[in-house]
Amino acid sequence: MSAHLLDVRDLGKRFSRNGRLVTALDGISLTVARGETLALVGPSGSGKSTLGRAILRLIEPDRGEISFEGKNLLGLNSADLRAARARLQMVSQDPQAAFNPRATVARVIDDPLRIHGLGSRTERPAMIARLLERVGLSPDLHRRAVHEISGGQRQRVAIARAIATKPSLIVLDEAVSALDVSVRGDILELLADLQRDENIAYLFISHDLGVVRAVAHRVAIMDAGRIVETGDARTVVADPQSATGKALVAAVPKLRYRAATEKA
Amino acid sequence: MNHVRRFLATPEGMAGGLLLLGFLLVALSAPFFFPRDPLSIAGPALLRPFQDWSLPLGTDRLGRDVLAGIFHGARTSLAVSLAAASASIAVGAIVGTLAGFAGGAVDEVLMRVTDAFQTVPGFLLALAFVSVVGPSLGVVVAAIALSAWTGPARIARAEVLSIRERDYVASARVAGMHPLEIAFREILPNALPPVLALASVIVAQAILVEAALSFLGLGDPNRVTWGGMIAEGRAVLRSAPFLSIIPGIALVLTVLGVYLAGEGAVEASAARRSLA
Ligand SMILES: Nc1ncnc2c1ncn2[C@@H]1O[C@H](COP(=O)(O)OP(=O)(O)OP(=O)(O)O)[C@@H](O)[C@H]1O
Ligand SMILES: [Mg+2]
Repeated sequence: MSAHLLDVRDLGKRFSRNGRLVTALDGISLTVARGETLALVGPSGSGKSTLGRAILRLIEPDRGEISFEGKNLLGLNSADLRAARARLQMVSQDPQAAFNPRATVARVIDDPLRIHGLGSRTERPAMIARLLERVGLSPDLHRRAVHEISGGQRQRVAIARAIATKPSLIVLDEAVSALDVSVRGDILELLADLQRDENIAYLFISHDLGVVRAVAHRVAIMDAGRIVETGDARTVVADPQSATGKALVAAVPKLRYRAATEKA
Repeated sequence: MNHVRRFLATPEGMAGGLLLLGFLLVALSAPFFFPRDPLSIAGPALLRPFQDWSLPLGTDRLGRDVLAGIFHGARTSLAVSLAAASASIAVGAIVGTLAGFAGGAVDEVLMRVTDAFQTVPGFLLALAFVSVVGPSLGVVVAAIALSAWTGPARIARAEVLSIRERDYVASARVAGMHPLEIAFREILPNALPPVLALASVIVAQAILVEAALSFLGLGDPNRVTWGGMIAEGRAVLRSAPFLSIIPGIALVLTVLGVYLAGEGAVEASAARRSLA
């Protein structure tokens, strides 16, 4: 049992590729509180997506423990895991790839409602309409195929699907990285809004420290499968202690400037 | 509609389409033009073609109408080949999807079974099956499907293996979808197009296997088949060669039509891809 919403202990995962072992996660421990945004940053290949996928149980870690809402996530059998997924959702970077190419907007949002038994067949269309409105889309969009709508609209549909089952944690893996700057701001605002209203926690995977500084409460910096630094998001971005953190901040000119002036 | 236009724009599609259209019209209109039992006696025996216009293609050794036989034989070929192709594609797609999606031991076992079926020549398998179970239309269909499902199974499995890793499958798992629903609702429909591309080959093969079984006397005895007509005519090949030649021509034209139409469809979809 843990007081935290999510409590990850000593998670390890190795992949074998062309006969060589790659250590993607090397003893990761972290916690996320209810309603909190924990940002996960780090260079490419540091294991951020692997960690997110392990927490979602899309891949099985080799060792470690994951406690979510007090449940031992790695110990659940497949039926219990499917039921638990209602509370643990994901939004990924490329919503085009994240949807079945044949799906319509309505079906994409209907799936989680139907699977988790929320609403009867006759009630669900109204629920879908409400969810579309909640993410700032017109309910008329429900008939459209997912490949017919814009990237920003698609990401909103992905968010509607994720919040359909009232999750307490959403893993956002580079969820705004592929969007235009203007659309990105709107989506971040929507996410902040949802967090305020429904007390959803986010594991916000990103390589954009500017965005992280604006949206995250805390940040964990990863390198080579380990967490090398954690702390308050603004503090860490302003004055990183680890070499990896310093390098990440140095790579963003605007932040480097801001860090220099804030320190002075 | 665009598909049809592009299909007909290719020479293969045009020729194949016309041959197939003729085949379909003949098969579907058989009970309309020849309402009598085609196995009943219609006139004098061994009447030559173009002698009597009420029996334009003549009669066989027992005085049965050859043209009526061709029409009703087309019906048998159509029914058998469509049923066999549908059955083998359905079985192949299901086996291939399960193997590719489940992986591990399930995949191993299913693919060894597929290998086993594939190493036995298809016609021998069908022949053995019909000789054991006895000839009837359903058994002939099952026998052909038994030898033809391995191709669709392999292609479906390869397709599923690549689709399995796509993001939307992960997304379905995160939504809590049951693995069987993921396999058959999310993955299978997207794996189907290349499997369906095999349909023309299987249909052509099924028509030929059915004809060959009938030729060997293992077709449904209560139905006229082109293979059976060719076999009938063999006894009088010197005196009345037309009895074997006419159903032979019908068989060749139909198989050619199916084959050309399949080529046309492939060309048309290739043209679409290069346009896109
Ligand atoms: N399915 C897999 N098979 C083999 N190796 C993998 C697999 N998934 C990830 N890896 C390896 O694990 C390491 C961590 O990858 P991961 O995708 O988690 O990095 P990341 O931090 O998300 O990077 P990016 O910022 O580029 O998305 C990399 O070396 C990667 O090549
Ligand atoms: Mg990643």
